[in-house]
Amino acid sequence: MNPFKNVYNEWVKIAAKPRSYLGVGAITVLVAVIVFALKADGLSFISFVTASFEQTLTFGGNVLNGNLVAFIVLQMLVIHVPLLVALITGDLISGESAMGTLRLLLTHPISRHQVLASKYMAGAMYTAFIVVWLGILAIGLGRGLFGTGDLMVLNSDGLVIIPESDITWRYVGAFAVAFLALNTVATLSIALSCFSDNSVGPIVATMSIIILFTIIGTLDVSIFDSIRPFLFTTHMASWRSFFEDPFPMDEISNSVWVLMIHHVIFWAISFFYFHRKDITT
Amino acid sequence: MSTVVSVSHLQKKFGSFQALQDVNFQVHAGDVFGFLGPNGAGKSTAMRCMLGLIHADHGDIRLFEQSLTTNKVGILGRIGNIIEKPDFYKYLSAEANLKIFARMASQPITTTTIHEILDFVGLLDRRKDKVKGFSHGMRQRLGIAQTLLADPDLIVLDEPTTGLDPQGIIDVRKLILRLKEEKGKTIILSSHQLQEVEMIANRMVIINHGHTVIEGEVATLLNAQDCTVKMSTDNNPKAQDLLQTRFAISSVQQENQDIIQFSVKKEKIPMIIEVCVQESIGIFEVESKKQLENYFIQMIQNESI
Repeated sequence: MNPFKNVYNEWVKIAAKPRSYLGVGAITVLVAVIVFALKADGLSFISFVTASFEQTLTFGGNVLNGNLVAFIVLQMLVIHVPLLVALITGDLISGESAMGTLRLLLTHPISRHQVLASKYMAGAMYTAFIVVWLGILAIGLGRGLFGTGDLMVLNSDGLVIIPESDITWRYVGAFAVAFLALNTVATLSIALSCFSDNSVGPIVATMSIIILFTIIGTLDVSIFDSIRPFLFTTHMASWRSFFEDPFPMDEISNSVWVLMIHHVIFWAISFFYFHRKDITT
Repeated sequence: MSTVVSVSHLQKKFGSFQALQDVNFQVHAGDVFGFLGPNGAGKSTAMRCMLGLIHADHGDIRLFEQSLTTNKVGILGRIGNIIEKPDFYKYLSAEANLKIFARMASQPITTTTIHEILDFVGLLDRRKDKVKGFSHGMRQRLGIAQTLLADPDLIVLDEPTTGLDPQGIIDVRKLILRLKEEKGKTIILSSHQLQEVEMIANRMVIINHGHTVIEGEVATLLNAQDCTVKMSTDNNPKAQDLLQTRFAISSVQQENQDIIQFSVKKEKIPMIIEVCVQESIGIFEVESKKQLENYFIQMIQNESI
């Protein structure tokens, strides 16, 4: 049995579902809206940032360039993309269960582990596709409409200016970490999908967990201090670390580890449960 | 004759509900095996256990003389099935659905084979249509096509005619008969249509309350059963009295004004007719039948006592 055939099967199913295009369409529309809004009135938007530094710094050249626009787009959208990912991945097992096709799938000569592994692979590929599409739109549209230039980023430590020649690898790294974070959401939703026989439950549960963890992560209460570093939601915005100077290698490595450990935990739970699950639908 | 399926002492509990208590049966190569039982008897659970969808708590399931526990994937490669209803990916065409399952088969399945199978079930012209537009009967036929994809040695059909109109039932019945006669498949057929099982199956098992009530050859089991006799005479009250007093038949009923009905051993029927004639009772018509339906009801009732 060729495992790629199973992954291909999953891709055929994802590609045939209208809801799969909802995420791609939503990202396209949102990026277009943000980019054109910045084109229309971007200077006043960034003046909120630059105004506080104008007495000490002089800004020259093309500040509102494609690199900054891409950064703004990413910052605005990466928070919302998990919903679009969960919409598809949360349905991969439970949707088949609800449709009745899971019993057909599992009575073919393929092990349950292979079925689940192909779902995970397909989910990761869909997530990668969404991230790449977001990147192409944000950077492509941004650079196409605003040109290139140095990237000015305001973070908690202050204003960081990254030279144009130093930006591309940072975007590649940022998208890779963003993919890892989004794939953690995909893995969580697939794991939850194993426990459900309807497609809505895992999607809602995934979003509820993200909201709960985000609240725990942002609440400035000491009781949560010990668990906050271990929540995957704390590391969802780690892609931003690629635009810091000096480059926080330890911080990024830590985030990658936490996200990977979440992957392993969600995989282990789902493989353990799905292997033993009685298919009664 | 080789044993294709051997199920022994199968038990399954869902929470506090004992779905299967002690299910035993054997299916031989070439059998069309009727799988009967009232609703909630445990038929679907037993079938799902047999296909590895539900994990049995106790018992042994062997298919093709191999344990399902140790060689599930290899065994499943030799089985085609429809469990309960044929559900497919509605947003894909009939052909695309079959291609998905063909890619999962143990051996390569060509598009030509898929077309031949679609032709066999009468769906070749509709192969490009999405399944969401299919009637229940068409889905049922597509389900049978799906079972045939990998040219399986065993076909498991759970309620294949449920929800079909009379023409659909006839079509599916013909398909099953063709599978038996033209392709020589071993078939397990669960159905509420007892007449259907009676027409198609050569062996059967009856399950009730999660355990096997009886298993054997359909013809042998029915022969051991009393016939249901319908008799029309010119003096039904006298005939009824005669049957009760002379032949000790307690099951005599007046079906309507003209016909009385009773159950009796087949061998006694000539004697009954002879005695009626001697007693000057004019007999217009005698009809005797051995029906699986009666046998089934009798078995289930005996179980309940």
